[in-house]
Amino acid sequence: MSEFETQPTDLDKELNSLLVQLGPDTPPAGFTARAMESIRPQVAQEPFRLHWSDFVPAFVLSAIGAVVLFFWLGAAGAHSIFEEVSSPVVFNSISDLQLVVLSVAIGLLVVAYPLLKGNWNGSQVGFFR
Amino acid sequence: MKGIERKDMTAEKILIKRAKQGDTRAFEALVNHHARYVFTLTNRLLPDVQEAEDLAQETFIRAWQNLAKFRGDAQFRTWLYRIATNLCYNRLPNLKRDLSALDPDDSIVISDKALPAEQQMIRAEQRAQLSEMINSLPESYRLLIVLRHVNDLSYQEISQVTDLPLGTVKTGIFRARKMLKERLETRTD
Repeated sequence: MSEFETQPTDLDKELNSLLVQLGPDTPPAGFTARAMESIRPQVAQEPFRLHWSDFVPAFVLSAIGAVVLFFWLGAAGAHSIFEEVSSPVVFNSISDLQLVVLSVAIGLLVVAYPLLKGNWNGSQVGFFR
Repeated sequence: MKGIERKDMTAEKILIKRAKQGDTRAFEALVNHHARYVFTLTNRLLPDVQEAEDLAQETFIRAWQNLAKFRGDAQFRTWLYRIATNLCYNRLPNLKRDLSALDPDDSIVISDKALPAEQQMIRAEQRAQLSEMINSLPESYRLLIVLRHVNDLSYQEISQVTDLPLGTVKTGIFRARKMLKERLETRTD
């Protein structure tokens, strides 16, 4: 056996030239569409597909919500340290009912965000995809 | 060219990430990009175009089902071709046996560099003749030639795709090229 590619012959070069320009075959028309048609039932059968990154926005919003609630609860008198930092003009006007409504709204946003995110991406079933 | 290739790979990584999260449109883009090469692989090995298409589609179905297992250690195309090759092994039981029977020849010195080629464009007739010559090769050599010269894989990648030792891959390609050169010489004469 002789060394290969260290001293290519004219025949080697001719073959290489042909092979380089051969190119891939063209699939039949509609190949991709048919492949995706076969795949889409797989998506419907597996609606629940969670990824750890789905929880990141929820954690971030929860943290923000917790901080906001912390100061507001403090403003409502739950902890004396907040009396020094809270603004009496703003916080004294907030009732307990408003605090509850705000807490529920933040909680709903934390839960709803992944669902909304899923729909924006066009996934069939938002958070559970 | 390297800059464009790097950009393409980044775009593909983004598509793969989205597809892993269930985005079928992202996966469809991947199918569009790789369909020709996967189909070529199956079409060159199987006698029937319909069967080749079925096997190629099965490749993408299995890729979708197992996408979570793709860790990105190898290129996505290498992983796809591995699936396609395994399906071909199931369909053609002699293929794996024949490939495994190739004795690696240590006297063959073969590099992975791009091969020197003449720059003249080939005519459609020459392309058809070359296709015919490749199709006349034994299945095992055909697979190696397609992976190397159409799908543009390195020897190492071919070794991963076919699950063969590197030496066996090099020997197989060397012998396949030798057969092609003999056929080319015969046609030229």
